[in-house]
Order: sequence, then structure tokens, then C-alpha cells
Amino acid sequence: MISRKIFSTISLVVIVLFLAVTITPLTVFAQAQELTSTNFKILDPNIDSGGGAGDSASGDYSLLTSLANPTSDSRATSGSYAYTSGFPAGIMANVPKIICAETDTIAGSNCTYPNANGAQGECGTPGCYDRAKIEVDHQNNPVDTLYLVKLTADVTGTEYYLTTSHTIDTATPTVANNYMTICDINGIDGRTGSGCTPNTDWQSTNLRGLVPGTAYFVQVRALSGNFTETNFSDLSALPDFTTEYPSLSLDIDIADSSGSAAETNPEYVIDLGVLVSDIVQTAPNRIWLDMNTNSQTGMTTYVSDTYAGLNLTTGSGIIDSEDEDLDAPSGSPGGYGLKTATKSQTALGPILDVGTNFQKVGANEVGNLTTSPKGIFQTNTAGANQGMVNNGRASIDVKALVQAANKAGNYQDFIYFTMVGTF
Amino acid sequence: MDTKRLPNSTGVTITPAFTNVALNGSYDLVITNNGKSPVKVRLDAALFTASKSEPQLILIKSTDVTQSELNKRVSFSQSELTLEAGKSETVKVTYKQQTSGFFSGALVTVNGDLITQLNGKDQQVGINGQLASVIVETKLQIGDIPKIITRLQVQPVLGIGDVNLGSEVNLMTEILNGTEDKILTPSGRILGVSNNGQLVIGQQTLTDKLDGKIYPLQSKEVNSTISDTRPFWQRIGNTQYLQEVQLNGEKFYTQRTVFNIPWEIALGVLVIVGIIVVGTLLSKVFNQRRK
Repeated sequence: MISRKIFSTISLVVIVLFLAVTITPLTVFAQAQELTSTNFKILDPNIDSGGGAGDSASGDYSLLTSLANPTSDSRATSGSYAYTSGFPAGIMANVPKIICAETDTIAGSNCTYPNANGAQGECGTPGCYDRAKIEVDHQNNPVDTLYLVKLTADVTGTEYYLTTSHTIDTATPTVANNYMTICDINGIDGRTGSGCTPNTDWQSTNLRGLVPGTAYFVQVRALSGNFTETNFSDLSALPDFTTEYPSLSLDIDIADSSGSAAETNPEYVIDLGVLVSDIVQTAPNRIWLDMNTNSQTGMTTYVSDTYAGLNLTTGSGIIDSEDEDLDAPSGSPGGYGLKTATKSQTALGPILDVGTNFQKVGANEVGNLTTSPKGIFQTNTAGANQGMVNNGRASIDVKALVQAANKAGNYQDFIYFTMVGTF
Repeated sequence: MDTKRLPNSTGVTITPAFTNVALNGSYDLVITNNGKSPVKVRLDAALFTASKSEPQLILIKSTDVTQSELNKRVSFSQSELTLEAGKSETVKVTYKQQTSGFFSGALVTVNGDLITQLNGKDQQVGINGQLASVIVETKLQIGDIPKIITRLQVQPVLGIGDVNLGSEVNLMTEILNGTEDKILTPSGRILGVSNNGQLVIGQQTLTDKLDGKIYPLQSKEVNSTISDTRPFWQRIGNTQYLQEVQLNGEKFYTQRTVFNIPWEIALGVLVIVGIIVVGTLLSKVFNQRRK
């Protein structure tokens, strides 16, 4: 019997504990109009008008109120602040400023970027077509101040608000969807107490989903506590930035192997010189390609030719372009082709070979040219690669071999480098 | 504010290199000579196809369509011009005829045909540069819709099978572009809706996670999470997860329902069941001892 009592007691305790866990505390609500409830009573609903210290009779507290003194506030020294007296306005945050708004700058720009080559170092050349970088100046507002960024399209006048996902939207802004701290907007806030974890994405470009070829005005307002939202910062006389278009740039230079910085003018001709039987001839000059794009997915440069070989200028005869080592030729007599030599870029990319089409190991090993385009260089987004590229430059050697079976005479060919972007 | 700088490039630049134009529409193609000497430029129509393995457009030379036929499908206000150093020219490009399964575009050849420039001595190779401006139709046709698949998987972070014991669910969105000639620009969101359909308990914006386009025969996956912050007794029952994906102006909906038994309830039931079981066992033991 005693054991049964113990068991019953244990069961009761467990059930009571369970109920204690599952039942949440009751909350007592009091309406603002009510001065009393079952739990409390407001003795005096009147609040003094302020303007000094309102000491209680007991001496237990002092109610301190003050009309603001703008001249003693270092933040409130310009025409960019607003002070409105009386509830609920109170003292407002300072009107923030836009430090910079950029899409196509290079080194020495006003914004601070993770790279040293400005907006073009983030978006490729000639700049960002659907993105931009802005920086907001907090104007000494507290670190937890929230900011709303507004964009106005120049021609249409359409107003957009920056969302927390850094895209822009025409929807009416809300604190949850649109208001962000300096850290969230700029991607960095070095002030004490900001608790900011730097975000290089937003330091790179923090406006996304913009329309290409469109001019925008940018304004920002601050919210520090309830009822203290400022006006928007001043509207610039001219648009703050203009987005670029999806672009491709290609330049050809003809120079020797030391010509990494050479700039030559058209017409572009590679002269192979006099070909001596059974000796591989590498053209003294290389083909240098400057490739730039702001394509976020990347680009491919294809190469094709007119004859799929070197064609005899008088009569019929061809030295076939073959994928082979010209030091150990196979197939038809002689050979001709391309071999990639160097690749570089200032930022982004990198410029890559397309497989082993023209990236060959042997000193005189070449890839063949065909009348159909074959990839030779590309940028892509595999791994940490970036599709865009800033000042990409690559060089290619042209090599040929004649053998006794090839007809004597002068040969020629026409090579086409074709750049295609993936936007 | 934006101190305009000269593009940090040389040679020839074309813009736009990629544009959304409807059939019979046109656009201004701007060709800029960034170099220090004049260049000759020729414009031709071209066809492109999408890579099956990666988001990439491939320039093709059609064996079925001659260049003169191609040029009837994309026309230019002028097809040959000379660009002075540092100058731009604008060519109006008109997209006149679709080639099913392919993208059309303009091929800007710099220096054009060099035959007359080669002197016929020794062995010479003329080098030309080409830049592609690709036309992409964005409007989805009726036949495109069945080729586009949107999926949503909902997996409770804490659960037994498909039953959600916790307040968080992992969401996996998959969009498959099965078309051959449409590039999809995705945006969207997922809403978590209470059992009665009245209360939105959470939402996930997919737009920023779906950053970028979806090329033909490519798919994109996005993982996200929704937390149900309601008290546990309000979470009992079904929650619906409604995925709304917008692709080139068309909306695609997917819905999943998850049954919730909050762990607090499950634990309580477990404790009660445990007590009953233990009590029954003890009762039997005592009964046997008395016998």
C-alpha cells in the first residue's frame, strides 16, 4: 500500500510538472484609457510640461525634460537636420548623406571597394549594367539607426526603394523590408558598438536589379527610434549614376612576345615569313587580344578561319590546319595552327583556355583552325571564378610547317576571333 | 556623383551585347572605337545556340541557312561603316524572323575582309575581331510552359518522417528550364500559411537567392528556411507552403502541406503514455506479489 501511495505521488508530481511546462503565464492587458486595473492604479495621470526638473515630494525621482539646444549638439550644425518640438516628433536623427554612387569608375573612385580598380574592378569593363555601389554617410547618427534608400529613375520618374535583399522595389517601404543599418547597406561599419560583420558582397555592389542604360537619383533618410524619421537627403541636380549596358570589348594587337603592353593599329596581319621545308616556323609576332566584359556569367572567345589551313594564293594547294605536334607531323603534309601563350587580367575573370583546344604542351604543338568556331578563351563562374573581366589580355602564337609535298608559292589565311557574352 | 570615366578598354566596344527584343522589334546597337585609328566594321546576322552542359551561348555556323537568308531575319540600318578613332556609331537592328530553337543576333566584324590588304608575299594571315550582340525573346509561348518545371521540397528541421515536431522547415526550390531558346529571369517567394489559410506565418524571398538567369536546359536550386514563431499550441495541424515563382512574367505555383505536432505536445503525450505504461507494469508487479 505504501508503494502505491509513493507511485501515486510521483505520478501526480509528473503531471503537475507537465502542466506547468505546457501552460504559459497569463498576460494582463491594460488599455491606455484605463487608470486602474486589478493589478495597478495610476494615482496622477497628469504630466508636467517640463522645461526643467520636476522633483517628487518624496525626493525619490526627478523628471528631467528639456527643450533641445541645437547649438550645443555637434550633429545639428547644418541645414541638413530637422528639429520639431513636442510629442511625438522629439529630436530627429540627422539627415544622412550619400557619399558616392558609382557604376563605371576605375582606380581612385570615391567609393571604397574590395578591389583597387573601382566599379570596373567589381563589374568588369565598362562597368555595372544592372548593379551599382553607393555608400551612406551616417552623419554621426547612432550605430543602430536605420536608413531607407530611395532611387528615382531620371526619365520615367519611377521611385524605387532598396530592399533588404539589395534589390529595388516600387512597393511602399516598410521597416522589415527596406530599412537597414549602415552595416547592412555599406557592408561595413567600423564604429565601436556596431557589431558589424563586414560583407564584401555589399562592399562590392549593393544595388541590384537595376535597368541597364538608366540614370538614377539616390536619396537616403534615417530613422533612429520611433517617430524620428528624417526627410530624404537633398536631390542632386544631375543623376547620381547611370548604369552601363551589357558590353563586350575586343582589341587586337600584333607584337612580339615582349608586347604585353603593346597597342597597334589595324590592319592586323601576321607574317610567317619564308617557310623552309621541315622546319617549324613560329611567326615573329604574336596575336594579342584585349578582352573586356561586364557579363556576370562570362564570355567565350571563339576562333575560326576561312580555309581551315593556309591556302595557296595562286593555283590550288593548302597546308591543312591540324591538331598535332608540328615537330612530329602526321596526317597531310605540313601543318598550321595556333598555340595559346599568355593570359592575364587586372581584376576579375580570370581569362581561361577553353579546354586543350589551343593550350598545348609541346613547344610546337598546335590546335587546328576550322571554318566552324572553336572556343579558345573564356571566363566563367565555376568555383571562385567571376564571369566579368577587367583588362583581360592573352596572346597566341601562330605556327606553320611546310614539307616537300606542299606546293611552292605564297599562302594566306584569315582568322576570326569572335567574342560572345553570356548575360 | 559618379565621376564619369572613359571605359578602361581599347579596341571596339559594342552595347548592348545582349538584349531583350520581341519579334519585329528593334534596338540601337552602339559601336564604339576606343582605339587611336579608324576601323572598318561590317555587320552580319548570326545564330547562337545554348550549351547543354553550362550557361553559355555558342556561336554556330548554320549549314541549313545561308548568310543571305540569315540577313533577312535580322536587318541593319547600315551594314558597313568606318569608325573614326574615339567615335561611336549607332546602328538600328531589327529582329524580323525567328529561327526556332536558336537565338538570333548581330555579328560585328572589325576590319571586315582583309583580302585586299594582304600583299600576296610570303605567308600571311589576316586577323579579324568579331563581337556578338545576342537577341533574346523573353515572352514565353504556350508551348514553353510545359517545358518549365518548378518544384518545392519541404523538410522539417526536427521531425519524424514528414511530421514536423519543431518550428523550422527547410525549403528547397528547383526551377528547370526545359526550353531551347528561352532564358528565364526568375523571381519569387514562398509563403508559409496557417491551416485555415488566413495567417501568413512566414515568408522567404527567393529573388536575391535566384540571382542570375536560367539558361536553356539548365536548372537552379535554392535552399531557404521558414520559422514558425507562433506558440506551440497554435502550430498543431497543417501548415501550407505556397511557392510563387515568376519567370519572364509568367507565374508558376507549387504547394506543399506539412503536418505539425509540436515537440512540446509530443513530449507531453509521451510522458503520459510513459506514466500509463509504467503504472500498468508496476500495478501488475504488485498484483503478482500479493498473489
